[in-house]
Amino acid sequence: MYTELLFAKSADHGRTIETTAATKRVHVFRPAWRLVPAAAALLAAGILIGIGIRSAAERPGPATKRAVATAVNANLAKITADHFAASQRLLVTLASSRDARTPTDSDAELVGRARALLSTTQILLDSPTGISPDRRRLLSDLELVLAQIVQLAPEPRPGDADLVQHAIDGTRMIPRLQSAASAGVAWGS
Amino acid sequence: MSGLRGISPRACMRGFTMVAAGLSLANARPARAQGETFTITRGADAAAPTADSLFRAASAAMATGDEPDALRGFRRVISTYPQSSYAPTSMYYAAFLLYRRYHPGQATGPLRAALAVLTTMHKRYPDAPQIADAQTLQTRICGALAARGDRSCEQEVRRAAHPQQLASPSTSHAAGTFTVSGSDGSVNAVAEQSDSSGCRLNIGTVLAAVSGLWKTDTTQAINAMTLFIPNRRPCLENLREGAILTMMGHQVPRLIPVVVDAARNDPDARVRRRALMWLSAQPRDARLSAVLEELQKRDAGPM
Repeated sequence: MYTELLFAKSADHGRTIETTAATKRVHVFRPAWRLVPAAAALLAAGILIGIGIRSAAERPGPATKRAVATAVNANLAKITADHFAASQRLLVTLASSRDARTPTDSDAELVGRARALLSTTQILLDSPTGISPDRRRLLSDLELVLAQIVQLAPEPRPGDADLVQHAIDGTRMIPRLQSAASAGVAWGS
Repeated sequence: MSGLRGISPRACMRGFTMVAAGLSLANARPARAQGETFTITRGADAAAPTADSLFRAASAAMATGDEPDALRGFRRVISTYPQSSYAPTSMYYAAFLLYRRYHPGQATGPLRAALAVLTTMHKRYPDAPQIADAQTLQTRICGALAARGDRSCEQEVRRAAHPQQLASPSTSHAAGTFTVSGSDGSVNAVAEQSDSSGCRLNIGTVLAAVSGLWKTDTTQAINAMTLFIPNRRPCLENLREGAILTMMGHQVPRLIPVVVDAARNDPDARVRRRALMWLSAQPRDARLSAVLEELQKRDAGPM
């Protein structure tokens, strides 16, 4: 009886052991399978967060943006002021060469300078920011004057220079350029 | 259709009128082709304004800012005296005045009218001295039209921004011939080279194209920069300086090494200064800050 009982207990125990082993197997393997998608999701989330942090770090913050915008505006102010000063010098030289009435090779050189200045004027006019409406208006008037100077080459007809001078005087270009150049230097420096 | 929203019927009519005006300019027949109609009586001839007087009146109107009157005057020169030396200049001015009527966001009629005038000018006066300037203006107009979605202009601008003369990889630091007519109009520099043909580059046109590209196709604009800025031929300093100016308001980290190299090594002081200016307006990291400090110390003249 005792033996039977013992055996029965043993059998029970065996079942218990088996059950425990089975349970253990479940504890060992089943959670691992469940963890795979969870781990993948965690990894993906980690990568996404990492990318987000990195791009946020790379993206300039508001302070950087402000600093960049200030630098762009200051640069454009300086460039525009220099450009006005160079244009003023050209117009003054053109007037004096016209007074001297001695067309020489330097006329072609002046026209060449005018063409380069026209190109710069148009690039500045294309700039979406950094140039005030007043300066934009002056650039636009300057563009028209320079376009007329450019047409003096290569063989100006008699009276062409007078027409250009009329355009320069009619728009008060020289004093306007002078004023804008000095104001721009003060602002840009 | 959504692109048409916000354009008033009046603006549309104005655009159509301008296109019509441009086309009528473009289609004006040379007087020579009119045969007998050009033969007029001596009395009428004496009374008729000459090409010179018409041109001067139009130029005077332009000088005083009366652009509509100037445009009418130049139109008269073109239609009445198409064989005179004033005709191509009048066409250039007419196109220029039409182009100036356009303001971003408005109807593109004036631009299309200006383009029609320039196209006719190219056909009718291919050897006129104004053709190089007309080409530059045409590219500039196309840049504005490309920004409004004109596909053919987009292609034209892309082509103009990548001139054949600069396509060769050997252009950088090359000691080659270079006859440049462009930004300054005349032949700027001629260096020795085995290839006697050399190349002629209209710098104004290239810069107009690049300036347009920044509005429509940034990738192509950056490609153009990587082609122009390291190109150290002495006659191309205006191109390098202008190219850097076109990107003054843009932050392009990819171009920083190219511009740092220009700021350090370009033979032209103006290009170095402009490169330094552009770098100073880029978002800074420690490395760029160090480079800027080094360059500012080296270069005289404060920023």
